[in-house]
Amino acid sequence: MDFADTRYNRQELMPQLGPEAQIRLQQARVASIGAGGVKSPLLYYLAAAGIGTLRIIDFDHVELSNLNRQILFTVDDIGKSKAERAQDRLTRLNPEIRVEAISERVDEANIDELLGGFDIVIEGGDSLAGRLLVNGYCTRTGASMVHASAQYGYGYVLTYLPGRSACFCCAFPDLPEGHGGSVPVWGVATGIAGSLGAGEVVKLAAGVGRPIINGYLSFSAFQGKFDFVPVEPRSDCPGCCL
Amino acid sequence: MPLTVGLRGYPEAVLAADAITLDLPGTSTASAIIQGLAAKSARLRHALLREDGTPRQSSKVLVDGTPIAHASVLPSSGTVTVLAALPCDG
Repeated sequence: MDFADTRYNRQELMPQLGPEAQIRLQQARVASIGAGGVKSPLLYYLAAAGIGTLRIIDFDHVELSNLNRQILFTVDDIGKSKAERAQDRLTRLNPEIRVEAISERVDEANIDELLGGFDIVIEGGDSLAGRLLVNGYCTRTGASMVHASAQYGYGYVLTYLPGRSACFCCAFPDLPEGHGGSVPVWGVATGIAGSLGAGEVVKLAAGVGRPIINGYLSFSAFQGKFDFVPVEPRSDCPGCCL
Repeated sequence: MPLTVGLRGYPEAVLAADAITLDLPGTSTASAIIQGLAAKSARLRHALLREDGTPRQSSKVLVDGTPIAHASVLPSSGTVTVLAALPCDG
């Protein structure tokens, strides 16, 4: 076999992907709410894999304390828009894709406008209410949702396929609100969650493999442990009413 | 009776421990395990229990890696683990 020095050669050689799946990745439209710790590696891998259109929505600005894990950014980015700096970094990694930056907070008033037309939504945000808002949007529109989160040294990943699988609310029906303030977190944990989340998006976009549905994958980085926790769709779930 | 309980997720993070020993009655339910663990810290109580003191549905007890219902009595053997969430994108 001749060596081919093309951008996607190494993944096109994989039987699970190949050139046809690569075309599907190029046609995919993926929106990410946030460009922080988990989304940094996640977005890097999506851009590198050739996801055709990436929309990054993040109202926040880069701070020094972000840099232990938010590997999209450098000290030169401090004080600047995360969405715009992520757009610049990802476009330089892969100028063959379209990367859009929106420096806004997603809320009930703008969610349809910001996420409309995107096949896959990478859920995120800094509050439980925000997560449930996105979960509800995906239920209403049928967009697939990938959840990847981390704090301390642990995290969770799950995919929600509306009408076909348990949603975020089925999995976590009565979560407390967070404590507020600075979240203790290690870059390794956000890296694991982001990498697994990128894998979910690529599988969905390419139409290959098995997404993490009807349950969630939990990991503890300090322990080196992974657990899949099964979740049944709940008929009384206010998030999806399956 | 002392019972070693493995910790995953938020409990492991807060206590910085792989496992903890709880002193429980001979016959205990999954709920009793969660409530015993919650008594170790105010932050765990907030994460694991509702305001009325009952376990949140999001607080899981796994026996040999399989979740059991909160009302279930723990089997006489098997590895018991509590996994609880406070999902947050750090």
